[in-house]
Amino acid sequence: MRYVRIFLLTFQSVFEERGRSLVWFLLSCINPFIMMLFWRGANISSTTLSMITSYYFFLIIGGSIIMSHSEENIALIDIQEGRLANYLLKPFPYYSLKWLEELPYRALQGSFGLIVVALFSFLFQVKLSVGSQSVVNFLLIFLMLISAVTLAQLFKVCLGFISFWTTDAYGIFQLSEMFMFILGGYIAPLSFYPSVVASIAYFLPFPYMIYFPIASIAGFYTTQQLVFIFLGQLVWISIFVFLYKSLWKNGLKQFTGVGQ
Amino acid sequence: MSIISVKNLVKEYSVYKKEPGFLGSLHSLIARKYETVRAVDGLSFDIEEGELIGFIGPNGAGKTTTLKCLSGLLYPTSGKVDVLGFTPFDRKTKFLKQIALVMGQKNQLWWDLPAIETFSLNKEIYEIPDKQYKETVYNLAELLDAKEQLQVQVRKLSLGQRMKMELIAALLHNPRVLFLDEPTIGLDVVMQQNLREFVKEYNRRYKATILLTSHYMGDVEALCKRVIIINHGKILFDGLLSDLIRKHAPYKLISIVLTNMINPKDLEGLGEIKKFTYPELVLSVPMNNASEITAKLLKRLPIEDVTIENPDIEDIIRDVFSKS
Repeated sequence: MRYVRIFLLTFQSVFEERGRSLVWFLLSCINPFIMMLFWRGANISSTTLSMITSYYFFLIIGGSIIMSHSEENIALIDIQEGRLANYLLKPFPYYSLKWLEELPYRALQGSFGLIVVALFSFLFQVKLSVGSQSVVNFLLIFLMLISAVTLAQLFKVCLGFISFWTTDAYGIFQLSEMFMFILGGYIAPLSFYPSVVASIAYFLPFPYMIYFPIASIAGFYTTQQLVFIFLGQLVWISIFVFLYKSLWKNGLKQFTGVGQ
Repeated sequence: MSIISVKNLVKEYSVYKKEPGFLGSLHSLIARKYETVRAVDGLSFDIEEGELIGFIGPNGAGKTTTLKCLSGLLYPTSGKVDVLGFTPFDRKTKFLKQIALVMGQKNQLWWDLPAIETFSLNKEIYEIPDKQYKETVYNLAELLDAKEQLQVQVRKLSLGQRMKMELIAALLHNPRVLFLDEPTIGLDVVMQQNLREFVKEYNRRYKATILLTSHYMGDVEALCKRVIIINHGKILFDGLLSDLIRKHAPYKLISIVLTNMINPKDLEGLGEIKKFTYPELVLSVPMNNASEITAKLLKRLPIEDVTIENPDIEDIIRDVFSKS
């Protein structure tokens, strides 16, 4: 209950920034919309077009729920401006508090996503397709979504921790965005990529955060494949938990609390 | 037994030094020069429970760094720090629930919401029971005369009102040890006075141990019996404020308003003339002979008014720094 109460309290502050949140959401929608319009002009079968359109619509909703931008907040405000001091003084784990602060943003952005997708489905007369999925598949997809949110948040927090050692990590953040964009499936489903690029991507964490969960909802995979993807997510989560602990332990020794 | 014990505390920072100009920038692309700065240099002191101590020093003396080490924000380079039986940097939950650090230049309040919402968040984080929370908010708000501002959006509050809310947020869990870093910075004299009275009353009422840093000597004079003076990360003085005055300024200032002009030679042997602009005269006299000399002056001079004062604490501190 304590966590729920903190979550609800942080939600109040997010409501005060709802305008900014809407703008961020709309900006993140631009790319999937462009790509969707591009595919609608392509010479492909109506079944494939329906799958691709559904993929991009799910990407808008899923992306806004899964992908946070905590790394900038952690690097610039917490570490460089010294606001981390406020968290360190509290008898509550930093990761949990950041997580509870981030969740309301994800929930709000996800609801924006649902509204926008509903609106555009109506305007373009698109029927969203999830393929033919069993109950087990939906259960696995649900678990994959939770793992994807966890993995994405862990990845972003670890990225933000780079600021313990560098004065300007912005370039690294941009680079990670680029990888996420290309290898995370934001441009197109990875199954459309050259096999070499797709094979490389499958060995990296990016598709496990966005592409696999979204493609799973769109009905790209069998139950057996979903199990393997879920296991892959767990492996990446374990790696990033280890990385998080190591970066946090050593990073705090570098923390100077500048500006505090 | 000491509630805070510091032994040979050292904290060093690595600072990037850039050579000036365009060539310096080019050079920094290839090889950067770092310098180690020792912000705290072997500090040792002990603090008993319930003490209210002034931690004084110029900018860059190492005051805030020391407070950060004591509250567990910074990892010391070397030395031993013990606060309430804990090593601060371990940041154990039990330790964090017994301390608070208030920094005058930073805040923890949600900017767009009333302060009471931040208090509710802290209530959950510190697991404060409902009854205790309500009582503490009420008592602190009353003590600070801030009940009216609890429901007002933080961004709409004045600096002084915000500082009051910061104090309430930091004290909700009734910390046994309170670190105050420049709590009166930027405040007007009335608000400074209010906060001083609050800190004094809080220390008295809750028996809290308070370590206060401030640039305003008024804060230290009004609140602290004991002071620790540091510069360049080293302790220059640790003791009672009265001992500091006795040691570094063993004199008193006699301020006189004359009714008639006098010859300054009449004052020979009585004390040093600090200022003489008729009708005002200020004499510096040895502390032990102040009353005897005042009596002599009253007999010899045409006096309308006379006051005896201790020397300005700021002058004393400046004197300590200049000798360091």
